[in-house]
Amino acid sequence: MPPHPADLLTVIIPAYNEAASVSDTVRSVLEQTTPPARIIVVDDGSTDATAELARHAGAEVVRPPANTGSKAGAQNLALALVETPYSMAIDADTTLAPDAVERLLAPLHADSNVAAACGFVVPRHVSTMWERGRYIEYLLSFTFYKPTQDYYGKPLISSGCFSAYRTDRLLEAGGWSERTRAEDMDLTWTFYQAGHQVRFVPEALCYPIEPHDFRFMRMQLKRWSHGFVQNVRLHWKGILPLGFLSTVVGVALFDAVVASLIYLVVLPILAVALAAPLLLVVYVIDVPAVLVPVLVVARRRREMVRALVSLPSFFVLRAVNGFFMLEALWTEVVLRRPLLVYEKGH
Amino acid sequence: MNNAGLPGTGLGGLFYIVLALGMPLAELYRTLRGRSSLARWRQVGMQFALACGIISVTIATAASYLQLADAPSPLGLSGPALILAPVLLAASMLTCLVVVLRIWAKVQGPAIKQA
Repeated sequence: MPPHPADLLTVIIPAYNEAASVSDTVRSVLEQTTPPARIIVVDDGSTDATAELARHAGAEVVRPPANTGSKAGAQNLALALVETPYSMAIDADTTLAPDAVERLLAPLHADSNVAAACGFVVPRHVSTMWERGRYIEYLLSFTFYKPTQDYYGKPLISSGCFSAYRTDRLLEAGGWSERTRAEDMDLTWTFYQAGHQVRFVPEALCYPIEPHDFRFMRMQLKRWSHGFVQNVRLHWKGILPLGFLSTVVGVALFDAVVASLIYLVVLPILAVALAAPLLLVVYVIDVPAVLVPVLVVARRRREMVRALVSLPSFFVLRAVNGFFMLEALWTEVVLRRPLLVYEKGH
Repeated sequence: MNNAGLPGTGLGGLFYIVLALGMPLAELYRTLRGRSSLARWRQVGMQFALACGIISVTIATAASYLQLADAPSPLGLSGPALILAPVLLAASMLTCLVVVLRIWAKVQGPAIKQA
């Protein structure tokens, strides 16, 4: 009998001070319908009990002599130890649905052109305003945008919190690069330029812990915004010949800039200058449009009330996100001061 | 609307709606070449239905907005023009953006590949 794909899989879990969540993560991997051959937790210089807890939960733990300085650095350390044809990266604060590994490996196993596959992300805790905003953002993005990108063969990003890779392609790409603050986007676009495919598997569910307060959300939004700008600057020449991807990136960049300016500058000024406070309705004019995909998936998940209660937070998060996008553009492009420090988002 | 982690106006959303509306045609093309499947058609049906749903509620929202007694009329616009103007503006901007990107890729792409 041929081995199951999961028998050929090594799961890499980078962790820095994740004592509160790493046990749940390791257990959720071990309790898969098809558990992997090996689980490596990289304890990246934690000062808490991350290593002990991960080992106790059933993972193999490796520890660099000093903190590597980034998630990519920790993942590369483990990648050097991988001997299986498939690798998987899972954040130490992310748990999986019981069949997530089996489902995520399917496209990799079925098609040798597929270098990476990513799953559907749903925040594990949805109670604070920031978690609620992110919850709606994910439901919208993973229900409408990502499947559409996948249909046209180019998901914008294989999310770093839960992605599977063909190990040889990952090694060919040089592992996870530390040159940007969004190593998952960097790797995805590198794969496309090398002619490989990336797939989105909506049935493979994962549940990360999202930033619960503004302090952590600020760090995550800053990292994501800078990471996006850094990747556009780094890859624009390489992705330009890739028709769909370059169009998606171009539209996303343009829309992000226009949205940030409209929400933070144009709308408030127009509302005051024209003495038309009703213009502020524009901030939430797309509520019904956002609700369509969100409620479709929320109904399937039996989370209609949660989705409706969470909706206002999405619009707050969007406006705040606008600030960090402008800040990233200003410091990265105008001041030419790239963000070099990797700050963990929670 | 835009991808997770990126703020967006309706422009990004409009782009994806156009893509989703184009899926049945693209899939029909694949079907005629024997490269389709039931699972793919299911995905196409879902995305197409979502796009149609978004368009429908957007039209309903616009109609409701026009019913507001004191709907503001910035730049002298009123009635359906008030709703149509931003939609047409967004569609024009999106078209221009995509055309410029494609022309740029056509002109620069081969040179970049050679380099």
